[in-house]
Amino acid sequence: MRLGKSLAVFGMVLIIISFSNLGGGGSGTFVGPGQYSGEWIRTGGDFYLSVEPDYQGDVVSIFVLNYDDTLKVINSTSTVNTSPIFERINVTEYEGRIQIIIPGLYSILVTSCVNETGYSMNLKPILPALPFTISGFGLITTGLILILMKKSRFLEKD
Amino acid sequence: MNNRRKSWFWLLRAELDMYYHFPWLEGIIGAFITLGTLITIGSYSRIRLRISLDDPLRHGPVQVDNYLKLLENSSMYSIFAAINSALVIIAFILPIILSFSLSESFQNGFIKTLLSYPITKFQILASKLTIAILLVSILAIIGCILPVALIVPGPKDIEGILLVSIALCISVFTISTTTVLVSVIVKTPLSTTVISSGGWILLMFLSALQPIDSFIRSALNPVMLVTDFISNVTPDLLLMDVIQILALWTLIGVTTFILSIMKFNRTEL
Repeated sequence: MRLGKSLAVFGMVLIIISFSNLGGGGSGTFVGPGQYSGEWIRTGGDFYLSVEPDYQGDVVSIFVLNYDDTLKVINSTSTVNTSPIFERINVTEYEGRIQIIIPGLYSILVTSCVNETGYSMNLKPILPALPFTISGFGLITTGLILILMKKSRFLEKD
Repeated sequence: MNNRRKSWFWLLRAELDMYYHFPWLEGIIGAFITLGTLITIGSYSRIRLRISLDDPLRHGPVQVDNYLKLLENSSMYSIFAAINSALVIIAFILPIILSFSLSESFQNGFIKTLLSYPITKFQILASKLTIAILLVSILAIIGCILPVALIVPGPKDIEGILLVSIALCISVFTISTTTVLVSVIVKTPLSTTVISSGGWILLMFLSALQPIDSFIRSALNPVMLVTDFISNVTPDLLLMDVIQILALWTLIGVTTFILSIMKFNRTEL
């Protein structure tokens, strides 16, 4: 009964945590032709991405790549032989949701094909974070099953 | 042999059913520790990436190796942070659960009831120890290690994780046995909790204090010792030192458990 209660409490805690805005934040730097700049990110699911050049009218290209493709780009400095999960070429700004099917390591790369430009990038996780929500519900269910099993055993004894 | 196994099983079940523990307190502490772990992981989970065709240091196979090393280190630091947080939960909650379980059993006469069955005093202490470790380990795994497993993909150093896990197990064992010894001597739940939990938290606090020599700090906390050794924070620390300190902690654990049994055997109930 008590183990069941503990598991149920933890399940609730995980569900609450799945709504916390962890892993979000902004960054930015300068990028020019032949350069890629961005971040490695660990993500468990979809996230919102916004990229905006510092000067109006400047254009940037945005790529979201998986782990293997990122290593290829670091090796060859080109996205030619890769299959990006997401790409936008020569855009003046971008704001939208990036779909991630498999949790893991990804990279967001920004480049400029025209001239050197500054940009700012912002990441926001989509809440609730599904891995935590699913684990939370799993624990609550296990806890409730344990509590119910114990109760039904008491009733049988009576 | 079969009867003995049955009595062990019966005792463990009785302990689990009647154990004094605090689901809400565990939940609240677990929530804080999980959040703390997640914030720490968050600080390691975003790494700047810069690739340049013109700069030979910013692309090519050497740079790939550099990033792989960086990613492995950041995954490892996240895992170490989680296991260190797990130790904080254990050092705080395990003495509380064990103190209340053992000392209350002395006070309310439950120990006498148990001894009227064909079971030994060693079995009673061992079953209390097993269930307390089991409960707190579940708490630590759910609160700290599960979040890391869920959100830290990427390359990991499996040998390092194994070594830190061994250090965590040794710490848990020693924390439990010393609490059992204090419980058997003091026999009142509140005093036992204050002495054991307070003592361990003080030790964890000292192991985090910067002015104290880094070698002494590491020796006060086996998990930190192994973490420092793997991350090369204390360059003077050799593998032999780590093995010796872990062996010393194990010896302390075994000795205190033997002393607890001896004291328990001599105790008039």
